[in-house]
Amino acid sequence: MRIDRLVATWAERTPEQIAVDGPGEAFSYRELDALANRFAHAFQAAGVAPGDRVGIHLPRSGRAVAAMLGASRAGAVYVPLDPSSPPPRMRSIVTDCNLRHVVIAPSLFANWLSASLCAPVEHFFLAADAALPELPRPAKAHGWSDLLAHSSTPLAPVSDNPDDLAYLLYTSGSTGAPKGVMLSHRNALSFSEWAADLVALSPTDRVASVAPFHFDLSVFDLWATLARGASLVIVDEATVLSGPRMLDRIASQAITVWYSVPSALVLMLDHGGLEGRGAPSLRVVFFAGEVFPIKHLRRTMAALPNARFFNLFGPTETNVCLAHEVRAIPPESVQAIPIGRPCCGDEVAIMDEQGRSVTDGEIGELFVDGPTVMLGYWNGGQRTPVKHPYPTGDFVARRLDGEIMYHGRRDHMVKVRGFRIELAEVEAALTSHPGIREAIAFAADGRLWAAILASDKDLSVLAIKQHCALRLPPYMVPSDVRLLAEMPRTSSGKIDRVGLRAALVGREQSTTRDSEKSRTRTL
Amino acid sequence: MEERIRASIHQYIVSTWLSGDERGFDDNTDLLSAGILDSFSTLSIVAYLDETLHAQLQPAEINPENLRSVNALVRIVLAKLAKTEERVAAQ
Repeated sequence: MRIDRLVATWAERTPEQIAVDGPGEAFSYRELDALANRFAHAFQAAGVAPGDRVGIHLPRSGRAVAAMLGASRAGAVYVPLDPSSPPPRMRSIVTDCNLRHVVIAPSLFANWLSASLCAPVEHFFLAADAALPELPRPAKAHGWSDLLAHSSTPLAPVSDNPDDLAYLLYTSGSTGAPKGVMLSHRNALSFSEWAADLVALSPTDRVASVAPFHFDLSVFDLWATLARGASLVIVDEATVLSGPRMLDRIASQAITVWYSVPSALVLMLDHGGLEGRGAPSLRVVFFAGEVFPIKHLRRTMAALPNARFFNLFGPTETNVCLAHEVRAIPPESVQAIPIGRPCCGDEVAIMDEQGRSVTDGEIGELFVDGPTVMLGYWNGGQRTPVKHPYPTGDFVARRLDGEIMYHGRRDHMVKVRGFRIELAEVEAALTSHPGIREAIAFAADGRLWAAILASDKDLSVLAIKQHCALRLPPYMVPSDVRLLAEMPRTSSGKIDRVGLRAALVGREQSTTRDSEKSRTRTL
Repeated sequence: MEERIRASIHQYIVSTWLSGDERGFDDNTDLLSAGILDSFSTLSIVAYLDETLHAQLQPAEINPENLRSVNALVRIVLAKLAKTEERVAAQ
């Protein structure tokens, strides 16, 4: 089974059923199928060959979904680009996977031109009516009307192989540059089909699209929804920032299935009035990406008594490999919930540093093998096949009842509000500043911190943040920047990360209280 | 009142998002290119305006234009407070 075949089946069976709803326009299965075919023809006419990468630089929308499907139908690999990524990071992705074809929203074009991002790109496809921009040669722009002039009839299938590369998701990389996770059609659909079966997803379901398309949470939204003839409801970025607005959207759009990081649910709980109004249309809530604080989870479940809750677990490299259905949480319990048992046909092993399986209850590293495990990395212009079984870098332990519990990371990857961040990438951006001698980044209290040893004593926190904002997406810019007179070191001379973190975070808690007091006094 | 609001917002941004380091920062500094404005800080800033200055922004008003600088924040807070006063006066 391949991604590019999903929609055509439903376009025949239920042509007028809504496939993608909003923002501002809706696509039936028939319309989505036709637009995907037009994209596929346009890509082929512009020289896209099987295996070529096609960039998708659009806000989440039916047009973006059609472009991804069209790329797949032409045998190409779609690469969703983060609209919030600053130009240098975007450039490293564009050159890394040699993007020669990019589908783009006209509003995002200015960035590419001003930052000379266009280098390898030969063809831009505008996803809306707009004047064609002047481009440096040999780049060429194709307008929306050019696209609509292409045939809506299907192409002859380019490949039947489910193990072809289907898409690249760029994640934070420990070498300082983002790296592309290579995922196949089988990878995406093993998870999507498993999850759709788990909750009996059907055409009557309306599935929220909350996660950005360059995040792997969106794989369920897109491909499970379209595999089952359900409707994908786009919840736009501005709405995701507001608890009340998200609840309004769930109610007005009768959303039945929701998949997000816990932060979005906590936002509805703390600032949206979830407990007062509920969200009776929701029947399934998936969450993943970070730990859901147990007291918030308990309140969320109480506010949504008709919904089933699932904790899904897995790095982008394995999509989802473990799952746990959360049943009632006892009122007094403060115990973390499990990350679950193997799913999607995957097998897991928990091993010590010598590669021996640990006994139940002992902590070891999680290794995963099976149909959701990626093909490998696309990094530095090269493809590196994945090791089998895949070492996740996550420490876990299996309980006697078979449920697996999470015990942290073995490396310097952190999650901040569900965003995956390699601290080394943040540190590389910081130390690229000529006035910074050493920099350590870490996560604490749900925020990203940086401790800086500056060689330039006039270097301000503002200047450091401005430097980061030019190089990193907003969620990777440290919230708390501390300038230090010296770095604490261990006896071996290495920077004492643990001591540093304890010293700074401890001190912060007392200063926050002080500033709260002074703020109250001012008013 | 405007000066009190300005001082309050200025101090909040400097203490919460610049670790108390005021160097280089003024009320026109672009908070977006300063790496200060993201989805998380937006929520905190909106909560601060609401809880401390009693200016409750509507979802449609939470956009980069209104949050771009201390000056922009002062403008939107003053506009909100003026509307509240009108409503109170009308009652």
